[in-house]
Parts: sequence; C-alpha cells; structure tokens
Amino acid sequence: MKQLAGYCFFFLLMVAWFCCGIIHAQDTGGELRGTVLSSGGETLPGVHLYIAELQAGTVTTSDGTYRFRSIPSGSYSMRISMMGFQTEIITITISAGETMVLDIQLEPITFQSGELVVTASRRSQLIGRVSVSMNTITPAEIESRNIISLNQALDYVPGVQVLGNSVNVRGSSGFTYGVGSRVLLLVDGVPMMGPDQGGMDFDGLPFTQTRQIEVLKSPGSALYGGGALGGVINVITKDFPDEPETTLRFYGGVYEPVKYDVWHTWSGASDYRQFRGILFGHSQKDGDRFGFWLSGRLHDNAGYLQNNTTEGLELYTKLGWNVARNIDISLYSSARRNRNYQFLYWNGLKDPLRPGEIRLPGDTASGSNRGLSDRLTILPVFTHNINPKIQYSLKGRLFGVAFRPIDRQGNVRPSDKHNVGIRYGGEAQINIQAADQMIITAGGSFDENYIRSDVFVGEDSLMVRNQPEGALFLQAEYNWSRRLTTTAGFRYDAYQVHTLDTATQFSPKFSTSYAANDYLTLRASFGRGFRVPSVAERFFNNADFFPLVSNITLQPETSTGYEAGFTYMRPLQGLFSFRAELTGFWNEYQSLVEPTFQSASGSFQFINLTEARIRGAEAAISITTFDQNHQLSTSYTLLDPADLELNQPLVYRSKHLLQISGRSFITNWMEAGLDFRTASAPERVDTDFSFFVSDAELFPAVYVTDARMRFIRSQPSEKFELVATLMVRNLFNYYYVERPAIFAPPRNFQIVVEMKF
Amino acid sequence: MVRYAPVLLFLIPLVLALSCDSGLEPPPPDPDPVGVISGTVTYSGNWPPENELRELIFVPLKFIPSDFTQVLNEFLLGNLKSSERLEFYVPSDTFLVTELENGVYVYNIIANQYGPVVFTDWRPLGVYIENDGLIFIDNDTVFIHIHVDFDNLPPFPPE
Repeated sequence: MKQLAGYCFFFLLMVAWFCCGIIHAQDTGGELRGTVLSSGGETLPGVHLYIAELQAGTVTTSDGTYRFRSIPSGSYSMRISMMGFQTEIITITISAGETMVLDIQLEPITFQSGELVVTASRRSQLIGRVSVSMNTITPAEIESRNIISLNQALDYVPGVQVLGNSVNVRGSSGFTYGVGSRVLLLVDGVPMMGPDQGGMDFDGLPFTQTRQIEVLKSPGSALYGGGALGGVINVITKDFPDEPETTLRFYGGVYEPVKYDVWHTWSGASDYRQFRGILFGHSQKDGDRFGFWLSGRLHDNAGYLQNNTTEGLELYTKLGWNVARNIDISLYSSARRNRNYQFLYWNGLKDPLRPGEIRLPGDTASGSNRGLSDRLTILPVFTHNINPKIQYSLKGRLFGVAFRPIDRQGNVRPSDKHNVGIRYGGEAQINIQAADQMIITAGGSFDENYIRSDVFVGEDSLMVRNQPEGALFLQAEYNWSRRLTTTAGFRYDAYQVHTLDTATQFSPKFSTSYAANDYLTLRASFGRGFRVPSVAERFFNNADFFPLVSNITLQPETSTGYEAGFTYMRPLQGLFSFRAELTGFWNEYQSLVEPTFQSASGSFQFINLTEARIRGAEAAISITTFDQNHQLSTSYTLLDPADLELNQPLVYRSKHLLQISGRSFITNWMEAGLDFRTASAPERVDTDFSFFVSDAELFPAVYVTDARMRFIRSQPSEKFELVATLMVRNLFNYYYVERPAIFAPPRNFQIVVEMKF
Repeated sequence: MVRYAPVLLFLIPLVLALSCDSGLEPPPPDPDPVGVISGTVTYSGNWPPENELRELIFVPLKFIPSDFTQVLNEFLLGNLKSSERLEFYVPSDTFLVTELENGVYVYNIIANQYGPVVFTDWRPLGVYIENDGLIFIDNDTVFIHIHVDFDNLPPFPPE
C-alpha cells in the first residue's frame, strides 16, 4: 500500500503543478455580481461564468451568487454554463468604479444533464442539494468512451467496482456468481432486475438515448424497496428534442492475443479476435403533442476466450403524447435477442483462455454455456399535473426473459429445458408541494414475478415459481431555510417468501444538508435497505455448470447505512472550478446471503451466512477550466469490509479503489482522454471454489488504463457533427481477472465513427 | 494549451508507473503434489474365493464413476493414484496413497478386480463414508478408515 500512497502524493503534486503559474494580476475596475437562477426560480450553485477577453472566470456559490472584482472598463462577453442548462452568452459593459448587479436565468435542457438528478428523492433536484452520495454519468462520457454496456459506464464511478456481473457500490456485493445483486438497477425509476436470477442485465440499455445514469451510493430501499441494499443505479432516458436528431455510430475493434505462448491452447488464441457493432438512434417531435425516439444496436463479438461469443440485436423505443396541457403519457419499450456462448470458469492459470470442467457424480459440469436469450420490456407512464403544486403519476411495467439452451450440436434443446421469467407490476406516486418549504412524495407499488424453469426445482419439486410483493412509501422534504434542508421518509414492503408465508420490512430514511458558507455544503444521512433473495438463490438445483443446491428457507438480508460528508466547490485562480467531496460511511449488513460450500451435499448453497460491516471513506476531487475544455478528476475509496462473525475481511472486497481521469481539448477539433483505475487485491477470497476450479483463488490487484483520441468535425449551420475516436482499452496490457476464474480482457483497440445530424 | 502540457507529462508517467506490473502470468511448472491419504481397512464377513481376488487396492477418485471404464480411462491418462496391493484374508490392513493433487476426492473405495478382464471386472468392496464420503486434500495428509463387509457390498454404480 506504500506504493499506492506514493502515487497519491505524486498525483497531488501533479495537481499542484496544474494550478501553478496561473495566477493573474487583475486591474482595479468595476465589480459585477448577481445570482444565477433556473427558469423555475431555484438558485443554481456551481454555474460556470467566464469572461473570455479577460481569461477570468468564477463559479456560483451554494446560494447561486457570483462576483467578479476589478474588471477593467470595457465591453465583454460573459459565457454562463452548467450541465443540464442551456449556455448563455451575455454582453456586459462596465466602467471603473461601477458595481453592476446582474441576475441571470438559465433554461434547463431536456436531453443533456449531469447536475439535475431524480434518484435521490424521486423528483428532479440539483445534485448540489442532494443530501446523499450520488454520481452521474453524462451522455458526453457515454459517447466519448463508446459505452455499450453498463459495466463499462460504472468502471469510472467513484467507489464502484464491477466484478463480472456483480456491481459493488462501496463493497456491497462482493462476488455473488451473477445472482442476487445488492444494487438495484432502474430504467426511468422502474426496477429492471432479472425475474429469475435477480441480477442486472448490463447490455439491454438504450445508450444512444440515455440522458444520464445516476448512481446512488447508499441504501435506497426507503424509496425503491428490495434490492437497493447497497445502492441504486438509475438509467434516465432522453425526452424528445425540438429539432429532429439522428445518430449513427459504427464501431469495430480487435483484442490483442495474449503475450504468453503457453496460453495459446486453442486455435483462436493467437488471432486478433474481432468485435463490431452499429448503434443508431432517431428522435423527433411531431407537432407540439407527440414525440418519439427509437434506437438500436446490432453487434457481434468473437471474444478473447474460447466459447465466449455474443451476437445480437436490440431495439428500443419511447413514445410521448402530451394529451392535454397538464397530462402526459409515455411508453418505453425494448426488445432484444442475443445468441451467446458464455464462459463460466477457466481451466486454471495454466490454461486461462479455455473453459474448465468440474467432475461431478455421474456427470461432468462444463465451464461454458450456450443459448438464445430473448428479452422484452414495456414501461407505460401516465403523468397528471393537477395544479402547479400537485402532480401524480401511474407507471406500469412488464419485463419478460426467455432463455433457450443450445446443445453441443448447435440445436436448441427441448422446451422443457427452456427458462421463462416475467416480472410485472405497477406503481402510483404523488408529489405535493404542501407548503412553500415542504414537498411530500407518497405512493404504492405492486410487483410479481413468475418463473418456469427445470433448474429452479427446490425441495418441494415445483417447476413454476412466483414471488409477489407490495409496498407503500412516504417522504417529506422540508427546507428550514435557504441553507438547511431535511428529508425523512419510510417504505413498508410486504412480500411472499414461501408459497404461503408473507414477510414485511420497514425501511426508514433520514437525511439533511446544510450550506455552511458560500462554498461548503455539509450533509448526513441514514437509511435502511433490504433484499429478498432471488428465485435462483432459493430454488436453483442443478449441476450442469456448477454444483449448486436449493435453499427454500433463505431469509431476506438487510442493511443499515450511515454517512456524513461535505462538498466544497469554489473558483480557483480565476481559471478553474474546483470541486472536492469527502464522505465517511458505515454500513451494517445482517443475514448476508453468500454462496457457501456444503460438505454434506458436496455442493454450493446460498445461505444466510453472516453479519458484516463495511465502513470507510471516499474522497473525490475535480478541476475543470471555466470553458470546460480541460478536466482532471480523481477519487479514492478506502474500505474496511469485515465479516463480524469470523472476525476476518469479507471475501472479494478490495480495500483500496483509486480512479483518475483526464480529458483535454488539444484544439477545438481534437480531444484526448485518459482513464486509469486501480483496485487492490481482496484480502480474502472464497477458497472452496478452488477445490473445484483450479486457481480460482487468484485475484490480483487491478491496474487498467484506457486512452482515447477524438476528432470532431462540426458544422453547426447544417446541424451536422462527425466524430471519429481511436481508443485503446487496457493500454498497458495488464492481465487480471474480471471475476473469479475469468480472465479479464487483454489490450484491445477500437475505432468509433459517429455521425449526428 | 501549452500551459497544460505539464499535466499530460505527469499523467503519462503516472499510469506507466502504476501499470508496469504485468499482472497474471503463467505459473511455474507444478511442484510434485504432496497430498497423502493414509488409512486403515477392516474386514468382516466371508472373504471371496481366491480366484476373485486378482487385485485389491484403495483408490481415491475426484468423481463418482457410472462404470469402471471411466476409472480405467483416468488410470490410462495418468490421473489416478492408488495404494499398493492390500493383503488378502486378514482382519485389517493399512494403506497409503502419496503424491496426490489437491482437491476434493468424492468417491474413495477399496476396489477389487474379481474377473480376468482388467477393463470391466472391477467392483467396490468398501466405500469411505465418514465426512459424507469427501476427502479434502490441500498439501496435507488425511487419515481415514474404511470397513468392508463382504456380506453387504456397496452398490455399483452408487445410488
């Protein structure tokens, strides 16, 4: 760890250099000050104001005010910008000794955000006013990194680590073999967890039509119910622009063969394996009342591992109808077909690019799995603004998955081997501005999933499973003053755990934020989370790929989270905006479900294993020039994950996470970007797995660097933009595992060409 | 932009320094496996006639075979270790299997070749049943006991 501390010091030194030599002496002159507000009248902190002629800038304080001093007499153009709002350019004329007061109003834009979030309180809020830890991933980041999968998007969120298909928010999940995520995935606020395994589908998301991805990094069950044990990821889709927009993106690339010849144990291992795809999107309004967008992706990936190919087609649409001045209806839908050859575990470190085998009584379990996967999602929403102070919405959801396994001869296996799962439900929510200072949010929801599978046969021998649940929630937000805001709420969930047994869960939350001065905002929060074990965890009984037996007595796991922190945001040297966040957190987990080897059955089984505590701290710093052409950001997360029963570290949690990102417009048509992330090796891993899979206990530290160059040709008059990107992922060809017994992608090269018109 | 060049000048060596370790690499050649199963076997009932005692050995297996051909295949592949021949017509005996690879041995038997065909004429006389029949080897020595009841031989393939 000394090495890491040295690097942190090195980075701080670098930041210091970045800021050196930029101090400007300013002439005495006039003064300009004022407040920046949204069109709704809300003061906006963190707005960038920049006077190009003077190369001087500032950023608004926590109450939305700004001030320039000593402006020489003259006429200047001032650029006012903030993510999520339309940029304004205002001409000002000021004379020596004059004090000009200029209040500015910014219009929000619907298709690009970053500062407005909805996940923390189920309503639109400025991120600076949110009293829990949150991060956003903007469309610009999604585009510039050619993000086509959610795990790629999450790789650079502070405190988030993705292990295979398990998302860890501050160490919440560890590695759970792809079932039973402790982080909840939402699309436009609607849960999108798989009805069968309760896991996340990283690929089925409309990335060309994503307004932003929000990551809530504390238990969120008080608003979203089960699954939000460690946090929430909310993918917000775009609305409809006033002018039609079309996007076409082509990408293609190759994985470099691994450098060790002894690992070239199959015919494809020494080839440059290809991946490619086309993304498309179109959105437009039809008159004042109708709008739609559609998007899709056609892709295939030969994979860098044997038996690890994917090919598929995804289609997404959203329709909007403004029925009346105060009534809106929208319908989001997606359909997807994938043909996958999935690599499950390797053949040991001697042969990491080929799947292994587990020899079991009477059979041999295979380390790869082949099948056809179909998914369908329909999310209708009805919104009615009864008056400016009362709004309610009704949301429905239908999420279906079907998996048809393919045998070794390439034929689809008989229908009794197919898995079918459906999740459906609805939700009603009302937002009431009860007083000038108070907003109340309340509602209820119902969900049920239905699964038919020959592998979910528990001790009761049934092949059809369902798991209904219902909930009521209430939250009140009170603004005691312009500086102090308090939020309190709860959610009451009832769900069926056995065929006839119903259990309940009460999840309270409390949070507060206080703007101590112009630059410093303090926040603290408390919340509870819970997760009902997925059908797979309770009923999976199969040894085709891994020896796993059911446990129908599995109980929900719960969490209690506390956090406190501050955000410090101020202009630096008249050229940069500086933002720093520091958060301390303490999460307690009860009845944590972990896969555990049971010697009695010679198989693994999900059991309520342990009490755990994950505490730690997270620091994030970013420096951005006022013209937003250059940015440097870093974050560091320290985790202390403890299994309180064994008095040992929790398995598969890294103690140290560090991320560094930089981007810079070298010219107005060329941008360079570099991302680096590291995670220390977990202090403890599951050694039972390595009895069956050779070297499954290997889990080295991660050091991954991604680099990109973007070339932009833009013709604003013709509304045409052409962007070509060269990307190298895992630039230094560092070999590590993306989850136990799966070799992570080696260095790969990618070319992306995107047209917008 | 020139003024920001130092940033890039620092970023590049930083990531270079952090990424200089190449991570996973092929393991060195395996050291000889050192796992050992040391055991005792006791007998009860009537021993079979001598012409059915062509071979009598202890065999630890990492899988449960559905027929003895699978066992022979493993033997031919060099993946199988067994004890020396056990003594016939004694009330008890000891056995030792050395140089075992780490892992879980799920079917551990006293095996008897009872007929002339070496590929098929095998049967288990006794099965290790303690610890649910599992032996975990992790570079160590495990001590076990097996009882053979000639009047009540275990089924094969196992139920």
